[in-house]
Amino acid sequence: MRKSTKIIGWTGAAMAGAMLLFALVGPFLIPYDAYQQTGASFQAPNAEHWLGTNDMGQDILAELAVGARTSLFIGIATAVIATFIGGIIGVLSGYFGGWFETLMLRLIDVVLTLPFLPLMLVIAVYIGPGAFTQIFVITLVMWAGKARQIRAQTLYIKKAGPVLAAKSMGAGHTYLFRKHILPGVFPLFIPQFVAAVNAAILLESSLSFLGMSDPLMKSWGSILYYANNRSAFLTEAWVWWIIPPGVCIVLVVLAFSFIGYYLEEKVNPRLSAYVPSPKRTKQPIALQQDLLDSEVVLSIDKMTVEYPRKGVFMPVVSGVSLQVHKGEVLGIVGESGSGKTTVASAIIQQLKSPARLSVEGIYFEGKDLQKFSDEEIRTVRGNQIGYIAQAAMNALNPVISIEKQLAEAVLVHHKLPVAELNKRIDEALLQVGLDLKWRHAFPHELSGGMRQRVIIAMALINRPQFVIADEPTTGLDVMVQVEILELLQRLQKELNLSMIFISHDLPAVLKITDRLAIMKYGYIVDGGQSAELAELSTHPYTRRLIDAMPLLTQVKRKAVLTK
Amino acid sequence: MKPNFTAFGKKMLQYGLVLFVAITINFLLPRLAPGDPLLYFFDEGTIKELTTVQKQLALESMGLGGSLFEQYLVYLKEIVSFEFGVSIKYGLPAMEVIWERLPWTLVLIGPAMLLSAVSGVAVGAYSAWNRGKSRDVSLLTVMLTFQAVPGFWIGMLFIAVFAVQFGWFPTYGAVSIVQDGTITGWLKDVALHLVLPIATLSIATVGSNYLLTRSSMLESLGQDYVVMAEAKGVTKNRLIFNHGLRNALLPVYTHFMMNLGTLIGGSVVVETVFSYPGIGRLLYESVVARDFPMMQAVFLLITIGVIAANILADLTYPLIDPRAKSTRYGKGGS
Amino acid sequence: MKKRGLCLLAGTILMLGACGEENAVTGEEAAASADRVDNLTIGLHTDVGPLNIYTGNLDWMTDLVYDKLFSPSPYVDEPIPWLAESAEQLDDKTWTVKIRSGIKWHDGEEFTAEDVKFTYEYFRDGPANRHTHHVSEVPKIDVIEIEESGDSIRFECAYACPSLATITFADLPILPEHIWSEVQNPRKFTDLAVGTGPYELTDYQSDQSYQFEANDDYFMGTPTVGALTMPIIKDSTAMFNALRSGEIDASSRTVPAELVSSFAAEKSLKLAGTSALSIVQFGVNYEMAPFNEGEFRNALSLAVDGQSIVDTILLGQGKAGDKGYPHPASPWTNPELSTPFDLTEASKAFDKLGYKDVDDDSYRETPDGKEMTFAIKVSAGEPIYVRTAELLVEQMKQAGLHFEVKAVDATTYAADIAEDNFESYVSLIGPHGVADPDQFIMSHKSGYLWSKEIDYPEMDKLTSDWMAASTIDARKDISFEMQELYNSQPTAIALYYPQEIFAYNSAVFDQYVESLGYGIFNKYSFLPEDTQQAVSATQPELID
Repeated sequence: MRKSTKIIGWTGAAMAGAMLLFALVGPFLIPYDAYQQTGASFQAPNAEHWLGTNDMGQDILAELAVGARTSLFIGIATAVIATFIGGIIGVLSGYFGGWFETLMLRLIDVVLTLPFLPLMLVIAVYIGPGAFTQIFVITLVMWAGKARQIRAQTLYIKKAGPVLAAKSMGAGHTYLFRKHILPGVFPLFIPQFVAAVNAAILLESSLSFLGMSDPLMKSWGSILYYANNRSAFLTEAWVWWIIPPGVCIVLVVLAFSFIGYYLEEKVNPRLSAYVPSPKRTKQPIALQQDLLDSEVVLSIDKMTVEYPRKGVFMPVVSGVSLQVHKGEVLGIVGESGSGKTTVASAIIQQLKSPARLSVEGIYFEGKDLQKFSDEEIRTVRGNQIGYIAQAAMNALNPVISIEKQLAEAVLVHHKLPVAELNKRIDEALLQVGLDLKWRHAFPHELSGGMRQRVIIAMALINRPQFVIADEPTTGLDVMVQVEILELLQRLQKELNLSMIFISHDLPAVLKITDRLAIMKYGYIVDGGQSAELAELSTHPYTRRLIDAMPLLTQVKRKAVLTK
Repeated sequence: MKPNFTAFGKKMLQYGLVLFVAITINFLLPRLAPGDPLLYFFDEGTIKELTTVQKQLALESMGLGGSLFEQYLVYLKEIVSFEFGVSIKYGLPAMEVIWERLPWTLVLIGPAMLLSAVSGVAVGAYSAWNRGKSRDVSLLTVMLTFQAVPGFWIGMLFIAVFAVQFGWFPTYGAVSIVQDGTITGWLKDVALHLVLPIATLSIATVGSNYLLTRSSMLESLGQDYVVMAEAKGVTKNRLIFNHGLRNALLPVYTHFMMNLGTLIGGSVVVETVFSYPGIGRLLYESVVARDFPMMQAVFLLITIGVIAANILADLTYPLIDPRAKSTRYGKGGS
Repeated sequence: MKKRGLCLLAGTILMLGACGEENAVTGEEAAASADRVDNLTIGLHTDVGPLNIYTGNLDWMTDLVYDKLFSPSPYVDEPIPWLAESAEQLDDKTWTVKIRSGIKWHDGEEFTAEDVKFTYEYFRDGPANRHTHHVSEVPKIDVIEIEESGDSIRFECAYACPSLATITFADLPILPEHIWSEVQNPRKFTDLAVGTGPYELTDYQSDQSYQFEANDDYFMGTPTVGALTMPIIKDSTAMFNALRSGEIDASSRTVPAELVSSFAAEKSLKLAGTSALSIVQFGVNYEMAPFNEGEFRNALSLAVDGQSIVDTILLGQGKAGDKGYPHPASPWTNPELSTPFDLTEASKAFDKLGYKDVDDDSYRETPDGKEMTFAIKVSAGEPIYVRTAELLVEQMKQAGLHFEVKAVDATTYAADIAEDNFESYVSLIGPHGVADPDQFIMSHKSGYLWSKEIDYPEMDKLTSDWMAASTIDARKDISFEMQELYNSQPTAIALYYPQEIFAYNSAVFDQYVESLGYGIFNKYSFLPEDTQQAVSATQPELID
């Protein structure tokens, strides 16, 4: 978890703690009884009464402390009840389903649609002002949202593997609840509870201000009610009578918001997926002429990438060096976790924190990409280096049409007139074997294989010199895999592309690549010309990989090994 | 190529249920509680002097005679024919009073909604993009503070500081009594009166828009298609807006539409604080005065408004999320 | 005719005499009285509908639009004839009234005796309103007939009614027969009010504003303000902010005690103090023990310290209620009444009655040893009365009585009071209740101060004496006796008499006068000085 979140969380906890302390201990420390007349009324702050006195001659600071107790009590009690009720209903309706669930869902819909403040007002006026009314009325509107969320979570857990497995082994309801459901939903209870406390405190203060509280009870909201009614806004009294209770409310709610924020981050891992990249400034870049002369399009010099695990940095890629020549296809092979994709990301400078990269240079066409500024690297991506992503399922923006995404790929690099642009798009689609009618479609209307073709089209639309294909056939049907591979092979030959082809699918790699690099645990353990390597390498790992390929006859084997 | 009738039909049934429940609650609540509107006309002293017959006559003249069930039937009949009864307090048909007040609430809520949504979304997106940096943390703190501030408190402080102390804005109401007679003068006057209430309502509601946008953005920015777009060489602004925000807005949109109910609630408080003659305050006053017909009419109107907003959200959602549209081409082959 | 002429002459002479003194005051004031003010904006703190009496009522506003037979009100010693030209008592139970001629309603129709007959019968027989009992019970007017001359009406009462002119005629506003005879349901009648008064209601927007135009042909003098604009500002803070910023010229809401000092410092504003004819009272349920014992109530009254309440909650702005009930400033109240605060006497009295603290818990028990706890009911919507009740609890504790405050929302409070569902309460009673001698009798019948269902031999005797008495003076004497009796065992104890202070911008208009019971906002403030003198209106007391 990031540091900023931790700071926020702990600040919140400290503030909440201070407030709770004030509520619990305050009335004992402050020498005045908030319910007694201890001074002349309407006094400004002075040595005896630090916040002055109210219209009854009661000490305002003492009132604040007692008010803290009331407001916090109402807030927390309401939150507990609402979360509890909402939680129980959510779990039960999610787990048991049937008519109960339907009934509850309809009830939840009704409660969530009705405008809550008017509803609360109407009910509160009739039951009569008081703490119980407030708790009742706020709970009435708050349980529904929680029930809905907890139900969703219960459904999710119920359908997950472990529960299904346990069920098939004859586990009873109690067991499932104890071991799976409750532990699964419980983490959700807490941030919801925190949010509920906030809502309850704010609602209580609004209701009190509107005159729905018991006027004999001292809460921050009712202090403000009296202050307003006794013209505090019209005299300087607003400074010491109106501001302090409001500030107390803000501090408490803010404290719980901070805590809630911290908890949300903890409970919801998807929120941690995005990390902003640091800014890259423009620097002078030296040209490595020798690389250009020997037609080395890409050269990586001793790349190491480390990720922190429990405070210690562990290497994912260690000392990797490789080169790709013009028109050459270099294959990078290895099992999952061998570091292949990391290398690919690193090349186009897409490694995100907390990764730590150290490398002597990543030279593309003789220039070190590490030194490129934000704008410079942007012009390289998608334009000079095409990237075909792994798992194309989610690589297309689901709400933008195919043609717009293809157009974008072009327009961010070149200003083309509309006619020219359309021609380009048509060409790109046809090139990958897609019918032009798919231009207007959205990604969800295409099958997996078709989407992969679109990705390929997008990668090539700007005629880059270099293409990185990262597991381009993973997850596709076998027949589709073959088609995609043939497509890539054809395009590479036609356009004389320099390519890095990453895969754990050995037959595919052998078919398409000129040279191979074998990676294991982040190291390059073997490398060389593809066919030679497959036949002749004596490296035990390589041998294992090659020999593990299921082949039927020698004939087939030869067929695979030669292009 | 059939639009999805059954799903739509189900939704409409659900809203119908909500409406029905709202109508019934609306009817029952006022009648179940102590106190009746006679007390609005006479002080306690005079009521003691009325005979039972006089009291009964007075009640009947206000449409409160007969058994509970009889009153319910009359009530349902009135709703269907769009008569919502005559307000006990104003002596005018409830709808007439509501029509007079409704525009004021709309002119208050509309801009506030817009301001709160636009700034919440813009700042939320900016914050998400810069997640973890000091500007994100400070914006987060500011927005959480806004969310923590009670609306009525900040509203009254605004009045005390900007209207009374500095005299920049009027202290109450929707228009001044004295006008210079021109249209532009009137418009300027209305606008001046709106500044503080809109500011208060916006501050009270911007926080949730910001937070939802921010977390929604964080999720969408972490998605593969954003990484892909960056690998394509898409510019930073396009990444934030066309990819990140465009997808992040989906849940924000639905949340926004459905939270109209919350906004109405906020407007009750703001209208009360600023003595603004809208329907929020009308509801509060009619509740306190036990003016049944008016209360029923306003509550019902608000519920219908919220339902309408929900329906609008459901209908327009496919416009922004193509996955929700019925398929046009059917799933294609490879 | 003659009487009117004499009055005018007297008024003019008085005015001329007063003029001499006035010239000594600033020329600015003289200038203000000479020019007519075109428009006056008064912030109104409540909305009472289109002034049709049945849909809401505020006496002084109704009075701007309607006139009564006599004016200004029942709260002065001698009201003068107004719509009536003269009134004569023929015998104990009969009066005849001659009405003025040449008066027109705001819609142009003639004002006739028909209107008077119609109004009195309508109030008596039609839907009940706050004036009803003045015709139907105390006094009880059986017959209202128009005499042959066509411009006189004869009133016949069921029993002696010597104060018909001073009370009833000065209380009932006269409605136009040609409009009201067509009204189906007065509680739903929403047309703008039509009256004979100095101001015509030309516009009313519910919850927004009232607009009045001066009736320049008014028979008692041309109004001194051309138009009255009254925006409705319910919120106290908003009202006074608007006054401070100049958006309004005066506020009908009284200045709360806590604001008086800061408003007194404002140069442009003047503060006028008036004796509000109202009492903040501590009432008890006389149908239940121990409040059904007169001596217990007496002791209770001694235990109440009104001054301390005034000092704490009202910062001294008010008078302790030690002159009893009804209001001491009313000419109908016995000036000898006294309800002092004497804790020692109170304790002694409780002891004597047998209410002692036997178990030493600092609270007294009943004579048979049972614990006593009483609730003081108060409306949650009236923070000042809540605070008052809280102070009372402390004071009662000093006397050894265990009270607690029970605050309920406004409407529930009113329901509880109406249904006698309380042990004790704190609330305000206005001039109608405490300055009107007929009302005092009525209050004992209606269930407020007493109920006609319960015997109260001493009071019942005095009441029948009163009804038999046929002169105002005789009735006054008996009334004073009744008040003595009442205050010795009060069912509603006077806590304090609020002082009402009004704030207004003196540069815009400065001719407000106080009409007892109406504060400075009344029709006489906007009528010529001679008329003001004639109705015994007084200069308000300025607060510095």
